[in-house]
Amino acid sequence: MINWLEQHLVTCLSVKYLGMECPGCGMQRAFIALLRGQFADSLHYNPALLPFLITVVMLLFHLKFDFKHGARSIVIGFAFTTVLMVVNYVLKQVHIYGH
Amino acid sequence: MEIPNENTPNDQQVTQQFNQQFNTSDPTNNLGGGTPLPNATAVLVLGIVSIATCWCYGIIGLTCGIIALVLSNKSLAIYKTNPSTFTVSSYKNLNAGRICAIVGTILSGLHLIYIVAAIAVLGITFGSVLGGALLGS
Repeated sequence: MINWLEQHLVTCLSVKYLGMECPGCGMQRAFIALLRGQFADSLHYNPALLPFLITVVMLLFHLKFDFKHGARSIVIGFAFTTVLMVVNYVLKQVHIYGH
Repeated sequence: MEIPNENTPNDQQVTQQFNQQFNTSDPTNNLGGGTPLPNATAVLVLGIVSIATCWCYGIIGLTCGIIALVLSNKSLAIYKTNPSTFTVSSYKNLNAGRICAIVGTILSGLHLIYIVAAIAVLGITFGSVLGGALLGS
């Protein structure tokens, strides 16, 4: 299953045609690393995947069970994901083009 | 603000108080009606999806975000005509989805602008290289 996923990675359109990474690049590698239990690698590939998955799981549970503070926690999770994604992307861009 | 006739004055006061407090504090009581707002779930899901689809130059994210915003505006208008008939949780979901959609739309838009700017810069670079080659300089 994991090997199949690893052999069928989708190339990012941004990388394919423009040669520059998008904020979501590394998500698939991060997901595979997560499936293998390699949390550090997962965070290294894309730190935003873990909070994003947590937010999605939270969303599904909230839609099913309707928690009292569900909506607010989803917004917090979403904000956390977004901030991580943006900071990671900006740092990556600075690292690539800043030198 | 129209309140159904079957509500007693006391109920009206409670509802009004609740609506005034709603934006400032988190209500622990459920004074809303029994009907969920239309599209509240859809707005929430679309809002979250809008941030996850940056791999397509931000176009999908922008589309999802804008659809979510339009839906949430419609639902908010419906909610404002008669707040007491809708469930509080669906209103909270709608607001949460709206926030996510706004953030997702803005970020997707920024990403699209960044990509367009990058293409423009690349285009100028390639153009000047090509021009230089043609001119022999």
